[in-house]
Amino acid sequence: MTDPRTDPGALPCGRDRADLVALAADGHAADPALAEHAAACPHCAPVLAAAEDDWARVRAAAAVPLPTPPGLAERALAAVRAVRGAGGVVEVDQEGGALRVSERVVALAARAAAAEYLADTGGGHLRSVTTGPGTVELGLAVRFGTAIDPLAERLRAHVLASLAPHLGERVPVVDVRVVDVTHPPSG
Amino acid sequence: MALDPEAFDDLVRAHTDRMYRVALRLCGDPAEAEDVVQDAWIAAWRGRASFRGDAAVSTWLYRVVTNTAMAHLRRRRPTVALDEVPAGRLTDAQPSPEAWALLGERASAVHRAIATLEPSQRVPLVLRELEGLSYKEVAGVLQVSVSVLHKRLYRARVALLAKLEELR
Repeated sequence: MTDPRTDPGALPCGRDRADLVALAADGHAADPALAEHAAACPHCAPVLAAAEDDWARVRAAAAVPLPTPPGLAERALAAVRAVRGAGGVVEVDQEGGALRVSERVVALAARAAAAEYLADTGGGHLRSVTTGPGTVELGLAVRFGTAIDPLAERLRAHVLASLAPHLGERVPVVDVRVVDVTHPPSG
Repeated sequence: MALDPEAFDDLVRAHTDRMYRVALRLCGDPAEAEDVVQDAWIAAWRGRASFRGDAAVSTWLYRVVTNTAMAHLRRRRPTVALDEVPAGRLTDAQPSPEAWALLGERASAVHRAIATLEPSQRVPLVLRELEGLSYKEVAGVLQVSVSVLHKRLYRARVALLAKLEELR
């Protein structure tokens, strides 16, 4: 049996299902002529009624407030400042001269490497990256139940391995700080 | 509009709530949404030269956060099977259980259904149906014509209706 809400194609009356779905989503005022037709049409009326029933759930979802985690704006500001601050320079000796890499570049590279690792493993989330002379500190929110020690060790190794080709012997110390815990999905 | 550091910080304070809401609706996971918000603001700072003062700042920021969220979604599985989306996933990590309880089963089902859609279908749905942007505004964020947006939205709406039917 087919579902009148989602089956493609025109209805026997010639009206397009897409237009009825749009009418349910946008309201009758968006197309009064179609609304008037659908109200009297035995083909359109059930399709529209079903779509409107489902769309009421979408509107209800849209109306529910989604609270922002406390302090998120400040953490976002800190993240931005970490990559735009004046910062120092990591100097790498090379034959015939020196390579100078801004700390903000180190911060961005460390952030990318850490995020990549955490996305792959799912053990936690990056909450901050701060740099200092010869150091990078990664702030983590770990998933509840994740063994912290091995996660930190593997994360540090991954970040160091990512930075080493660029910075050689001047690769910074990578500290890991656990700043939060997130709970696993329930259900 | 000159986006010097002070002006940019004001943007962060003013728009982080909106960025988080969009990220959460697209990703379906509070912790990942926070990742997206941080990355989006860094991307916005680094790409601030691309912001033209004659465009609405909200359009630019919607574009940044949706692009960042899409990148996050591409890094993980492209589509989550319906039975793999936990019922409480949207309500699992934030410290205001009373507020989250208001989400209710019906609204939660909508978010779970959206989380099962192809990422490219989520963006127009979230911006139009949940954020309440006009067609013109959504088209501006996606940088497509309104007629192209209509086609994308039709497919996304039909997909959402089918998922909602599965969740009944």
